[in-house]
Amino acid sequence: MLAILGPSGSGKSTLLRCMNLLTEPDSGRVSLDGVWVNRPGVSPDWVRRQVGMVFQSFNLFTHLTALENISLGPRLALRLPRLEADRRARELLARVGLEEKAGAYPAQLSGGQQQRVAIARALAMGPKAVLFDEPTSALDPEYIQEVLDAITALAKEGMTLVVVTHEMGFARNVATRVAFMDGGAILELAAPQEFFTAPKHERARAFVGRILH
Amino acid sequence: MRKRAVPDVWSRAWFRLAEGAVAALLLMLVLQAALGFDLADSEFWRLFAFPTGNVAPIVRGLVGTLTYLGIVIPVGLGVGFLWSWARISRFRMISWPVGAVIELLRGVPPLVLVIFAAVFGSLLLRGVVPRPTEAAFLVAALALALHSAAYQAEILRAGFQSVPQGQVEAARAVGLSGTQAMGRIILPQALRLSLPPLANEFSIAIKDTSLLAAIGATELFAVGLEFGARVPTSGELQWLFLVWLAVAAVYFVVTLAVTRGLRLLEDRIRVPGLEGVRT
Repeated sequence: MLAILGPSGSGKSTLLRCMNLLTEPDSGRVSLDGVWVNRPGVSPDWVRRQVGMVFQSFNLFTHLTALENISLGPRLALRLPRLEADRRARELLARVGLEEKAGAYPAQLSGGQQQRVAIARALAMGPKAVLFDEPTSALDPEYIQEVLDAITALAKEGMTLVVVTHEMGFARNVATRVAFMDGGAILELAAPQEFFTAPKHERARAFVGRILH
Repeated sequence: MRKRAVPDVWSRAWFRLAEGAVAALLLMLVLQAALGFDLADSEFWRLFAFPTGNVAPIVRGLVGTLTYLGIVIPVGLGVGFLWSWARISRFRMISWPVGAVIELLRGVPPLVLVIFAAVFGSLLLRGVVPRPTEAAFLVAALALALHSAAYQAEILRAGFQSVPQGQVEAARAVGLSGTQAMGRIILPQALRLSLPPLANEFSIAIKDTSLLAAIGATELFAVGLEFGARVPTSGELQWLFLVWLAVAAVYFVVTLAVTRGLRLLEDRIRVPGLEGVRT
């Protein structure tokens, strides 16, 4: 798991959105499994089917049930038969602890439950990596932990995750690497222990100082 | 997965219908007493059945109205949908001209459009089709359809624009194509929000077909005019009252059928948790 940290407006979300080509990069290369993907001839849809994404504001499809939210992508983009897609969706719901909410609509779920459904939706495509754009920033404090736990479980399984977050404790304990961004550039890339105890870049030091004290 | 408790609307609808029939009958009896004429011994019933075996005038009118509705509603909805799509296009070359056409159509009384269409329709079609006058009626109905399309386009535009951008992004992020995102995510949500105002517009469009009487088309309103002119020797006002009451009732039933039908659809695609406030 890579955690992307940095002050607001530093380009963290933009970088994340470039990774699944929701935002088209002006320059530079995006590689997926060693394949250069942001070039003509590579379909962005093909890339997005292999990279899951979880949004700050959940963005669950409001007119579909939790189960349909999860199975829609596999059914339409992977052409999975409905029964098979539903079966897998149920498994994923169980994995985020929401098997009894299969028939619930997003408006009937709490923020934490919605975000866990969104995580299951991202996993349904069997992605090579999952991107998280501030997954807990829109949550009431009491729901933050359940979402962080779900992400931690994925990280423990060795799944490739990129998480933009302001949850420093989470980044420190779960991430394998930390990227610090400011002014649209990655200023420091380090192991979390190293970054939080002895940040090298001057602005990283100021940032860590601000949040730890 | 989409099974929901749908209320037993059909038995309720029949019950309402029976209620309406009883109420109408009672109204008739009251009117008869108040206005002082004998319903049983009246030429009024010829509005509903000609003894000669011809089609009853009111049925002729209803068939005409339904025929023109068959043009106005589908064309209005189809064109309205395309126009709404064009209106939200990021290309000004597309959105601007369509916006101008919509403003134009909304700014002209439908009666004026009907007369324009009839005059130019019959001029243009003379010598092209065997019966230019009747063909001009269809052109006029088409003009009404476009008039309604202008309103429907704006209704649907509001629907499209109230679907948050995040829904599209989420759809793209799970790998749906642009068309799939439109068909499965945006359209159902936009339609759900547009249904109540669309039903409103449909009910107006239905009654606007009466304007076709102005150019001589056969429909309910024209039948009312025609039959109303067959005034019996006495009781002129009562006669007119009854004829127009019958015409109004048929318009009412047609409109009610359409708006109720859309209401059923609305119930079917209701989303739990998103019903909005109740007072």
